[in-house]
Amino acid sequence: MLKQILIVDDSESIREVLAFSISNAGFQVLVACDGIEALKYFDGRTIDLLLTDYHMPNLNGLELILKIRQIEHYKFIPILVLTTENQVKMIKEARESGATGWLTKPFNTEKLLQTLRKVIR
Amino acid sequence: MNSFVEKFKDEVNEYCERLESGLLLLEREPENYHIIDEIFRIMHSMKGSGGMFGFDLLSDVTHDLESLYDIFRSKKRPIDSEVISFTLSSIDGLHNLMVVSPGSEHHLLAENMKSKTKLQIARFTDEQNSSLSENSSETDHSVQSNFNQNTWHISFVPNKDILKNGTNPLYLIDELNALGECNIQVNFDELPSLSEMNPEYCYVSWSLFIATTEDIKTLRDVFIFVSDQAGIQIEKVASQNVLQDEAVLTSFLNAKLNHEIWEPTEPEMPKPDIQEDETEEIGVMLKLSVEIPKNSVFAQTTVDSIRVDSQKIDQYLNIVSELITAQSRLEVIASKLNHPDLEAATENFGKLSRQLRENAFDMSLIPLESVAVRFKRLIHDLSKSLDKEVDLVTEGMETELDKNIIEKLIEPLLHIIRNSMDHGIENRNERLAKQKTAIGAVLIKASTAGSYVLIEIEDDGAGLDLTKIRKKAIEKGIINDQSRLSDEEIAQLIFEPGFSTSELVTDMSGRGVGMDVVKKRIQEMRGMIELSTEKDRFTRISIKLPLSLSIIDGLLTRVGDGYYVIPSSVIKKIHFIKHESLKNGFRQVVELEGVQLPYLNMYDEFVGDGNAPENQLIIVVGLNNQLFGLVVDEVIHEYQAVIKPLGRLLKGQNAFSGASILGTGQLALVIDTNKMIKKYS
Amino acid sequence: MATEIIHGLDSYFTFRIGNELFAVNIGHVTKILGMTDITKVPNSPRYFKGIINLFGDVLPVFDGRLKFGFPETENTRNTCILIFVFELDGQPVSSGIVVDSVEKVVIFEPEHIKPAPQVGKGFNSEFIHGIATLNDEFVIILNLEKIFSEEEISLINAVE
Repeated sequence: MLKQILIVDDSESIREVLAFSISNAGFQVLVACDGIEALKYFDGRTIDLLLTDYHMPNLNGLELILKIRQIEHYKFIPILVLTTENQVKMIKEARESGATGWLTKPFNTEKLLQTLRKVIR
Repeated sequence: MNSFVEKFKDEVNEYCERLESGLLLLEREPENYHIIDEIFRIMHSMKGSGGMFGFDLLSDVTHDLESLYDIFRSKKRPIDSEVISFTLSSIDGLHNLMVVSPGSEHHLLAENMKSKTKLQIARFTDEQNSSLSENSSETDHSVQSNFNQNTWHISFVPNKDILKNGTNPLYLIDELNALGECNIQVNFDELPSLSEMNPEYCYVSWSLFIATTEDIKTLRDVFIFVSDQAGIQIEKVASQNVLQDEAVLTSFLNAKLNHEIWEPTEPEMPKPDIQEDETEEIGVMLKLSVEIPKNSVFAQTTVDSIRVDSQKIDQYLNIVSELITAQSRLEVIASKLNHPDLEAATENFGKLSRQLRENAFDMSLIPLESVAVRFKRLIHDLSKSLDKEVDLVTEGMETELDKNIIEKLIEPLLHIIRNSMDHGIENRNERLAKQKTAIGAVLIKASTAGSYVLIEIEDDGAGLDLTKIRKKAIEKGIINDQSRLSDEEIAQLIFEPGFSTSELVTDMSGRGVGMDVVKKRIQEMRGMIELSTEKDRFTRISIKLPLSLSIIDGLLTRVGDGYYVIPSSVIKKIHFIKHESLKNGFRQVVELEGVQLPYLNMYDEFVGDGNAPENQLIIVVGLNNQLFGLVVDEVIHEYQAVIKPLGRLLKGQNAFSGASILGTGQLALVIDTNKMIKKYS
Repeated sequence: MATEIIHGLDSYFTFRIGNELFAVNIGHVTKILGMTDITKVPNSPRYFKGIINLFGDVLPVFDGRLKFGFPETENTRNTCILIFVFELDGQPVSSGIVVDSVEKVVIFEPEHIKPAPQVGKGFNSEFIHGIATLNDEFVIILNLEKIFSEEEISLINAVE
């Protein structure tokens, strides 16, 4: 059974790039364009990793994480946040909300997979 | 990868549109933090995605713009109109920076934009510099030899609750293991008895030696996600691989235990420090962002609508019109077979297909609203540069039009608005002298009337200067100085080819288009344009356009064994006529109701075998106050025609705008009255 | 119309106009139709026969005989319309040609296709992509892009 990764980003191009590289790396990929849509996937199914953008309309990345951490079943799943640079504040906020780590844009496939390896096998 | 880039470009265009509408709104409501938030987010997205897809300049510039909006977003300072104008003016620049291999001009542009942005940032941060400095990156002073292995000791003591963020500490140890040779000790000292153990806590810690060529930064990066949730110490043990040297390892651990300073060959590395500040502020921030209701001004477009490739819509429309054709064929067959069940089913099918067509047609329509922001933008820009204060009033922007029409309509409309701003609206003093309100008004009004859309652009400016227009027209040789023209006729002269030149069209309005081109564009879309004006009161341009370019209301006629569709919009009258009377007519002109009417006998012209039927009909069509007669053999019925293009091979033919497939599968040619009249009169 | 040119095939579709045997690369042939109603477009040149309704698309149809300088004849049972797709300014364009009969599909290896001789024999040698032989008979392989090139189109438009 392939590990399942949920990608959440409001930018279609980023979503597709991520989905492309991640599925090539041998993961199953789910996508959502904002937090609200993403939440629908947390219906009891197994999600092995959540990769979410930070700034999104409707429900932003932090709010999404806070919500997910409240669901017993997903309390401990790894969550990565997409950020644009090592912004201390942003990262701090993300960690406080329960993110496992972060992925800084721009990234190449190598960096992406390297980061994924920190949180999922 | 290229399709990603194309998608990204589409996104940037959309971002820019949202920026524009957001900024214009922000100008009125500078305290609307939803919008500021949205702008910040757009800048942020462009920066991130730009870097991803190789648009580094775009990414660079939006980075600074993002910082600028961070100031307003975090409510450190309020936004002002200078920033809004500046940002608006930057949007075109952002478009231009969307190049994959930028030239020097792009670098120059980017530099220019960046320095301007920095100036803006400086305006708001002169007394406080906190917002920008916080993302200073960690710098590592230690320079490591990449070729020689060093031995490091790493102590990794996770906080008990490290698991709650989804971290799996084992992965980190694994990662270290991949970086070099390791000697790993797991410490279970903290492990409580089973009954006291909370399975959600982590009670173990690690102490390990690693011999690696990697530098300390790489080692620290392993723990980058958990530096705030674990005690991590990385110390250099030796400048070589000493993993096999038990004595060195033991004495290092002893020194550590006794808090003695260990002296490797190089000085000790700085310990990673864990930031403890800012916690409070973040708490506040978080609360804030949770409280903000998320129905931002732009939300509706993203939630209630989906984006569909316009080509797909075209395809869909094509399929639906094929269905309609198939359905009319079925009707023909059903009525031939005369079977009641079949007829009932056919009727039902017909009803559904018509609904489907209406629905499909509806989908290809987009509201004028979608381009209204360009009008607002133009007026905003021009009112600054011309120093004229103008209020834009829009009405009926929800009116929908075929997207192909809207695309073709933008330039003409912008041109008309430019003219209004440039020549119509007077400056403040002039207006006051004329006892008008100090602020001018431009009204854009749209409404639907049957299968037509009316668009009016009206300004309350000076009106057209008829004397000047007359003089100009004489100079240009459009009329001679003996011509007696009514005021209305003089006003219409601005639509004449060759009239619009520098005098009426300043550099600003210019772009080499005159009102004649505007008129031509509108007519190409089977539309009409009219003008009315009153001195010192107003100038109003009215445009009438069909809802769609691909479907027209027409009259289906027959000439010989060919079928022709004449657009209903231009038909003024239909008369019965004897072919005989046309023969006697004088040089292709026939007298009808006392008017000399030029005409074309389509039978004689298209069939030409001299066997034209005795009783014919003359359809009087009118275009630009010019009447023309089309003589046909038979008028069949009114007909809503789906126009199919004749294809590129026939693009140059000059009488038909396309063909329509009849219920029988036969083709009817759709007459382009404009071209037809030009050709035959 | 959702048709594309298929490149890289060595198969050719052969057909007759007058007494000549012609061929086009099979990648350009999308359909063979029996004679059908052709709607005349008034005031177009004689070799442009008119337009047809092909499953909801409107396509122009040319008369192969007149186009290549053969005398006009009555249609026979074998007369049919070949629908081609070719590229015009990078866009696929479909069009039909009326031919006297369709023959069969043959394979010509590239090395068996000789360049067109510079002798005009009633038709424009520019239209010819090359010459091959089949059972001791010359086969004229047509260059569709040239036949329907812009110049030709403006010719169509200009006449009368």
